[in-house]
Amino acid sequence: MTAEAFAHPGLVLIVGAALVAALRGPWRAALALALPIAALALVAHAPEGAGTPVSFIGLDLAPMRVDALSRLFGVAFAVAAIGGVLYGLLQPRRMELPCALLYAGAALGVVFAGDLLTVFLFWELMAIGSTLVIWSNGTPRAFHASMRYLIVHLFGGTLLLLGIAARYVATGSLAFDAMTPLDPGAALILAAFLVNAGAPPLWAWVADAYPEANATGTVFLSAFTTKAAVYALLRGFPGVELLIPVGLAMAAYGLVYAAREGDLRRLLAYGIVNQVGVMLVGIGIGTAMAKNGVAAQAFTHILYKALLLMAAGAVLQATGRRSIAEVGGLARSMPWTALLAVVGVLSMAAPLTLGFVSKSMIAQAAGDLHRIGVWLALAVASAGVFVAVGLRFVWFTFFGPDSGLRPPDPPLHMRLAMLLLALLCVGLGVWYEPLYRLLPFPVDYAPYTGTHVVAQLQLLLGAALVFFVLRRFLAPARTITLDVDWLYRRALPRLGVALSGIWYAAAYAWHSAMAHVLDRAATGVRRMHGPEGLLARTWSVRSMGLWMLVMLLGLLLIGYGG
Amino acid sequence: MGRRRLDRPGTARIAWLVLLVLLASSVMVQFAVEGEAHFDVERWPGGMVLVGAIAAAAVVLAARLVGALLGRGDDFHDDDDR
Repeated sequence: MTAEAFAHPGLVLIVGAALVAALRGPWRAALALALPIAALALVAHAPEGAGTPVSFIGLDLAPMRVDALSRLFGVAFAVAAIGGVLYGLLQPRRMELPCALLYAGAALGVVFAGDLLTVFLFWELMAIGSTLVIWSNGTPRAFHASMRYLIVHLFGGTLLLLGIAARYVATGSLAFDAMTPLDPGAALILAAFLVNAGAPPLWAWVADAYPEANATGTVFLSAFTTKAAVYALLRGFPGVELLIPVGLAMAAYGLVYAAREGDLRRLLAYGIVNQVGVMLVGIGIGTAMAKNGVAAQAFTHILYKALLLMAAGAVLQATGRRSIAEVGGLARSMPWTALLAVVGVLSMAAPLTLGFVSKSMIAQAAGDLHRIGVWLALAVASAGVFVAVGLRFVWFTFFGPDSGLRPPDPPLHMRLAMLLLALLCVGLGVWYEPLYRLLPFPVDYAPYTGTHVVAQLQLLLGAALVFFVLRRFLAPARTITLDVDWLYRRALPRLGVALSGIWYAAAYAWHSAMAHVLDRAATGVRRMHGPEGLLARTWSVRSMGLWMLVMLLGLLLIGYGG
Repeated sequence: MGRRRLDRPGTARIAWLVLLVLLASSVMVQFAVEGEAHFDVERWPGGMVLVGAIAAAAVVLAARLVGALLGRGDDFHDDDDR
């Protein structure tokens, strides 16, 4: 078992995280970078199959099930971890990289879990690791956001555990395979996965928590939690129709909120919700083409979103400003960051990038089923996210009105991390066969047909035209948009304060009333039994004799009456 | 606050011209390419330009409406977090 534990890419990262925490200097950096590279090698070479079962509390668990789907997500997570570690290699926070490695290892643990209990264990470890990553930023805002994040994810974890228990009782199986949410156990598991995916109604945690981590932390956060949920839904609930409206709601929410957002990284976080929504639509469609599309899109999104968040983090680090309204025109002094951010934006959907060869498969699946409503909604989501997230981000940050700021490009290791992801986004967009070979089903799809390329170009150009005509309406402002988190950040706490006020007032009134009653009772007792009370007086023999006569007469009357 | 090169009127005119030329080219190329299309809108000349433009305009409009209803200052939650 020990040798197999060292062959589990997730456990390698988790154990390695403890070593990274203990080391300092160049050894720490070298080990931190070597760990995800080793994890990638292990993922690439892991033999397919259910792996060796492990007995735990009398249950047979399968911690290392490898198939095409888990390998694809494993590769994506390992690459994201390599990029994230390289990007944050020299950042000064001592605990952030170990926590991020723990988080990445837990995400890999979810991906390779062959049973639901193993999923749960790594799911919770992922929640702890990601909370610590946010916490590592060390600001009061980060602390509060991390606590809200943790509460939401512990709630999701509770749903998951309840669902697993109910399913085990009902079926006697812990296997993590396709389910239908018709029994309570599967429905609870579906709800738990949706919480982590950022689905309604608990979708606000993504934009609330992700921007509060520091530059490196946000890169890690963007890659794992929501994509692990996409993986879990893709494996557990393909073809569940409910996921189509849920995904479309997420896509619309992400677009509209992103189009108003002024915070650099919160804008990109809303883009995550939008794109995860698109993936949920694909999972809901559930055909082999759709599932391939979702898997490819998750891979793509992990890479280009990490790239964009790296660019945003570079701006944050260089300027100390998180609002887009306070930056602008940074391309003059940060040309590398600007160029790589443009590559990230184009990678959302433009031909010759990863986004084009992956996202279009989901639309193709909707088209194959002649579902024009879904197909059009996906086209709107594609054009909308290009405008609301991509163009807004690069235009107002790097071009557009000049803020006068002239910060330099980030250090070499950060530029290299961005370059690595940018090269993958373009390289795999042009030479897409390696990606298609990793997909869970055989691919019968040619992305570069004339019709398809022209249609996609037209879609993006039409959207870009409207952006440049209406861009003043999309200018960032220092505002937020009220969200569901208003309920648990403001309404419920204030309701609690109001209710506790009412409770204290009622308790005070009760105590006052009881004190009054007791006071009156004491007065009455004192009147009867006190030194001057009626019953404390010395009675005369004549009076006593009279009372005894009265009582005896009463007894006689009762006796004769009975 | 100097003007960025891309924000100068001359550069902006060139950018507009490039964008319009690309749009026109994509519509013209559409007549020359062949391939499977699922729905009629893909076959209409410039049909997908229209979809993209309407999508972007809808996002702008929806964002304005949502902003009018739910927009608040960015310090809105500061008191809640204390």
